[in-house]
Amino acid sequence: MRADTAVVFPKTAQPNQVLYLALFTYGNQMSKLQSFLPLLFLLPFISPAQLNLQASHISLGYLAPFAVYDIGAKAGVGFSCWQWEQVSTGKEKTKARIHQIYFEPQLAYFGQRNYYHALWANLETGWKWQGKGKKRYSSLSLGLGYLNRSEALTLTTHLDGSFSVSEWENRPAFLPSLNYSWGIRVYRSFGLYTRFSYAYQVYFQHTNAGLLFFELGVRYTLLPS
Amino acid sequence: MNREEFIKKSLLLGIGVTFFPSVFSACQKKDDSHAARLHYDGEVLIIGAGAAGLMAAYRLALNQINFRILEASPHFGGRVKKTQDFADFPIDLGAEWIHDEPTVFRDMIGNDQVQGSIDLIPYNPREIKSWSNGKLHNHSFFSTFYREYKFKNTTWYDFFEDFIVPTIGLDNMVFNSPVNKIDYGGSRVRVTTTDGQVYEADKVLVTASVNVIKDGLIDFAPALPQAKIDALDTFIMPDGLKVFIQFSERFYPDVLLMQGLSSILSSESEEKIYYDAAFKKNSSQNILGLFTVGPVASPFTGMDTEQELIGAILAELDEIFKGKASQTYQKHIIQNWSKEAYVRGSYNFEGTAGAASEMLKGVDDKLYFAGEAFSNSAPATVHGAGLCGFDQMEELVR
Ligand SMILES: Cc1cc2nc3c(=O)[nH]c(=O)nc-3n(C[C@H](O)[C@H](O)[C@H](O)COP(=O)(O)OP(=O)(O)OC[C@H]3O[C@@H](n4cnc5c(N)ncnc54)[C@H](O)[C@@H]3O)c2cc1C
Repeated sequence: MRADTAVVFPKTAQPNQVLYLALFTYGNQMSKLQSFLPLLFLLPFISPAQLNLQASHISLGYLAPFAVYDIGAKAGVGFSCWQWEQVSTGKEKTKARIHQIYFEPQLAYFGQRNYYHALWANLETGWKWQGKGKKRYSSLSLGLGYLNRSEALTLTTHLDGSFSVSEWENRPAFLPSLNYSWGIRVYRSFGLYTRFSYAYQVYFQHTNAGLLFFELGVRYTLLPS
Repeated sequence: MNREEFIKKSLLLGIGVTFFPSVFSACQKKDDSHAARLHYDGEVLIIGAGAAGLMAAYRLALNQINFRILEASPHFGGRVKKTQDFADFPIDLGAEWIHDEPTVFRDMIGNDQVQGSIDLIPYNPREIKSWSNGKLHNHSFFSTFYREYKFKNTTWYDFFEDFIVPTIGLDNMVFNSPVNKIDYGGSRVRVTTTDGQVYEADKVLVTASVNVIKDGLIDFAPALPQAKIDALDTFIMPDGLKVFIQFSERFYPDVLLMQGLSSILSSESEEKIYYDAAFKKNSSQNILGLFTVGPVASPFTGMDTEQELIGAILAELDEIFKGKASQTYQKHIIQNWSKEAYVRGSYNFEGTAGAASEMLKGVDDKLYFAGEAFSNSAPATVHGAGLCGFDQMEELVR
């Protein structure tokens, strides 16, 4: 039996109700993912005036493409655009969930010594959901990023054992990404998160290629939960 | 997949290269051992001027120990071979990748007085595809798993020619001298070549490939001890082939795995890969390489004529790339390692650490073996073979 679902707008947030209701109604009819993804892409383009922007969290993570040799780091500041509470009344109990639509500008570095360095500026727009009063949360987000990959073309090795990259090539690319994060509040506002991402490098001059990322980091929540 | 195979597969893929060296015992690089001086007044004969034979000779030369190399073919290098004329960059017809860190050259030369540098390509192909069930599959995300190097403007052959052979001296190598008999029964070793020449020495190091020894091209008198024969039986050196084709257009990815991605890590001792040989080279040409070893190479290595072989390769590529290969084909070069009379295959698969250690033990303090098959730290590689020959000299003069 389908649970009855009600929406409670939190007093603090003043969401753009029309857009929200569209999302909500649409989302009730289709699977969450399908309804959510196209709308996420639109969010960064909506006038900030329409949104009630509040810095919601800071995240700092160790980031590595899906490989043993790559390492990297990512930092981001999240802004909450909308937050609302959803109350579902089931047969036996009532469940409350907090939803948040956020966006998060991020800056990341990753690379593989002697092979490449990459700087990644990313704007991630996501949907986070969390049981009310619960420590754990999940989020699904889309990123639109710009990647500057410096590719090592030549490495000069000297016979005394020293070596260094002697020729680099800059390779700019767009880097859209799809991310799933899972996090937990550990102590007060501090939490840990892990994120899996699939990104696709769309190069201007070189062959496009996929990337899988794994990220592990700490998150500091600025907004009261 | 046994340990050896896993290491080998990992090395070929570049996976774990940094983890494995120094973990295992026999025939592995020991940075400090290069400085260790060897003293020996006798004379040493080295059979084979491949990586193992050259590095063994290099160590003897550094220590002013008398030696001579007998080589069956007209040149040194063995499975390290190059062609300068095919493309606008030199091409490795045998070993091509450096399955180790760039410091491996220092480890091999082991002499801080030697100055010089080598330009390498950090090899991390971006566009990785596989062909299976009649379809091309994309595996580009796998790119970051690759961690190897290649030579930029030179080859493995040039490394030996520039840095190792000058110390050995070409005068100490006798080419076109296939050895067919080693008599180690007397007080000195007597080595006979196919043209009837007899060479005498106090000790002999055999670096011929496993298949050359197993196929009985060298007659040992007395016969090899049973323990050695049993150890040799554990090694398998299947077929191996390299082909380079020039096309007027580049229609292929950086790497095309012919047996699917999983095949690389499977337990099968075989590989078939088409790859862009000009990747990160200073080249304006489209050169596609084919590297294949193991049973999957056998249909190709067994073909009678070059025409038949190139026809089969183009047909295969045409099927994948919708006729592009034949349309844009310009020329090719084939190196069939299985048909090289004194190599007879690719490189060693199987074998165990125990078998390798057994092969490294001297027989009657006169007969010794070295080569890629007997390297425990980096089997099936040039540096593994070279360092095996280098280290084995310590055993030989002990
Ligand atoms: C297709 C292919 C690709 C490879 N790719 C790589 C790679 O990318 N990277 C890498 O590190 N390794 C690679 N390898 C492996 C590498 O080439 C070998 O491990 C290494 O070169 C073997 O050196 P070796 O001295 O043990 O044997 P060899 O090179 O075979 O040397 C033995 C020498 O002995 C001579 N000889 C044999 N019998 C006699 C006789 N009876 N009398 C006198 N002389 C004799 C031979 O002519 C030869 O010159 C590849 C090998 C093949 C075949």
